[in-house]
Amino acid sequence: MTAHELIEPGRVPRTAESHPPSDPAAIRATGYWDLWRAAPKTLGILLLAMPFSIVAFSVLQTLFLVGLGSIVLVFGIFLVVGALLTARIFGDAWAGLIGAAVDRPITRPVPPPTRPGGILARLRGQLSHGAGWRALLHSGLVHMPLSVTLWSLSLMWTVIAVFGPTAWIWNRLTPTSGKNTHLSTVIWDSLSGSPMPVDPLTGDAILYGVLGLIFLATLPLVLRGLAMVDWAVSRALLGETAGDRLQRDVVQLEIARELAAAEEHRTLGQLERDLHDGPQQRLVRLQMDLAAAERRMADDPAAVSSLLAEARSTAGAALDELRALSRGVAPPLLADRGLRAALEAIADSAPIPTRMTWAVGEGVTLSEVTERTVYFIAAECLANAAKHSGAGRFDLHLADDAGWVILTASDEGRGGAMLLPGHGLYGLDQRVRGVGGSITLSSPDGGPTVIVARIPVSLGA
Amino acid sequence: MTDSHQTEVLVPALRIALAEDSGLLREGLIRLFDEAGYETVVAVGDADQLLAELEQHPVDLVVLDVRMPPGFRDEGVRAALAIRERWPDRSVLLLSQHVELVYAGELLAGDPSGVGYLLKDRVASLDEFRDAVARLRAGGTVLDPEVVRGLMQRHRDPVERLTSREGEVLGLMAEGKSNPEIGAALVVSAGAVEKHISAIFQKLGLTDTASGHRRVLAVLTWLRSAGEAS
Repeated sequence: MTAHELIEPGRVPRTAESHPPSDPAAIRATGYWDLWRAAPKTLGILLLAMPFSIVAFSVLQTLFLVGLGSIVLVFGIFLVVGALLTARIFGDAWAGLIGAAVDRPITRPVPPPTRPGGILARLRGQLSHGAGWRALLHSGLVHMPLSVTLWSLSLMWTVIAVFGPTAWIWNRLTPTSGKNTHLSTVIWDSLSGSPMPVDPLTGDAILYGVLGLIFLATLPLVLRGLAMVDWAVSRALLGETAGDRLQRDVVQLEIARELAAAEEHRTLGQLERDLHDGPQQRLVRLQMDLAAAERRMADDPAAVSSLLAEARSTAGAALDELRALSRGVAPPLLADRGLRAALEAIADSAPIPTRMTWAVGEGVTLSEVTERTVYFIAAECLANAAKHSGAGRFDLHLADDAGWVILTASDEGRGGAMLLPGHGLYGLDQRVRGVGGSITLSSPDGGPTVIVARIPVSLGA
Repeated sequence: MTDSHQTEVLVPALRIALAEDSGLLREGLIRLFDEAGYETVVAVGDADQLLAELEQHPVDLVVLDVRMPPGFRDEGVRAALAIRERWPDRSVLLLSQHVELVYAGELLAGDPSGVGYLLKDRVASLDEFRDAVARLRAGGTVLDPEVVRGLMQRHRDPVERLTSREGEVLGLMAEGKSNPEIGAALVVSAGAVEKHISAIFQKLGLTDTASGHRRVLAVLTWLRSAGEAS
């Protein structure tokens, strides 16, 4: 697994999680009628739990026990690791389902980081990954009996809730042999001692009706409660522990560092090549021309003046190239006046009409690294829009949110932008993730394109 | 200040105050001023020193770098504005490794006569430098072609309606060149230049009532209004 696959849409990076967007799913169903509305889904998942967990149980028990039994034959170890991996897959699936049932997503631990080394290192990595064992404990042992219990309870409750209030309909349709004992008469007798004033069938209908109504009224609460029991057990075993969270942070930091290092390496390499191909060559040539002029000073003054003129134009060209290069490394206005002035300047001289709005709080100070990063992201978005979008205008919006700068770049162009290798914005994605930020892109065919980048305000500080 | 007016008559050589933090360039510039026949009265390495020295010495022209100690940011721009405020009769020429439209805008925002903003490369040539100084002392404005190009880019739509020759004339005018200078640069007659200029004014919707430097100012004002206009 490459570093890349580790952060995928399903596994939301910490950056996004620590600042949850206003997601409607996050607003939990609490009202009674909300519970009713959620009841079919909850019941469905509770009923699904049993077949699901029985399949998981059988597969995992087989893999694990056979693996354990043959561990002396070496290949057993692969079966055990296979069981751990499979348990994680079942765990992912179940955590997703039960999380959805109660609208409380369970954050799964990230897989163990790929360590350099041979197959042994990989095996050890899997075997020492606590989350795998906990998933095995869940799907291979605990969840099956639990889900069977919950399945029975939820089914029973639902059946009584449905058939109780309707007992008066089917009560009279069932064949009676005359020897039937009616529950209602038994209860009435034991409580009052006198004969029941209504006929036994009506008594049953009333008894079942009342019981059924109670079950019906409590049905959504019970379903929710049962689902919560499963959820709690699943979260304890499948969810993240504090250690996992720490490990996830470490993994993400490692990825960010790798990306940043790769990006820096690439940029420096490019800079070195540019310096070598441009100004350096010209300075060498300049030196040669000046030396030639020096040699001919005495005997050929006419040649000297043309050599010197050439030397001057060579120096001028070298200066132009250096200027362009240093602008690429650190735009002078950004260093002189800060991000806002620099962004205003690029907006002013942009090839498409550009509006820059600044809503970063007065008290928020951006570090120099942050300013540089945001500047280059904005410049790249703008350049990309100018080149590909065909849009008639471009908007840049800067705001801050609890320690983050939010850059929103949007255009009404033709859309179709992607953050994939080979696309213009891929480098941008790398750069943002390299500093531990996150970037989202929405660019359907036909537009509009909206890029939102979140960058920590105090990078490198 | 009155003092400077009195001495100006007595000393014919143009007196220059220079602020440039790189010793290498400072020496080079002093040598250039010398060759041009100007007298370098003050040569310092930062803006604070420059302002202090200017209190003591009457000078005609202040040449200064944009980035100087202590912050190496825009000290030169701020010093230039302060000098214009304090001594309106002293010309200011800002030299830089990079030109920024923002700084050009700030320099020209007040009274832009006697203000110049050039890339350091431009003063390598003695003739170009002399020419710039002469225009500044005559109350003109000197703008680097890079700045003018940037300004013209902002007004792409109307500027595109100009013929390429008219565009060239507009650029030279914005750099602060006079009609004869424009004619010489483009190798056309003074009459042809006049014709181009009136065509430009008509196409840009400017009223051509003024002449000479006033006209240059009208062009600059129009070019700088880009931000607000769009």
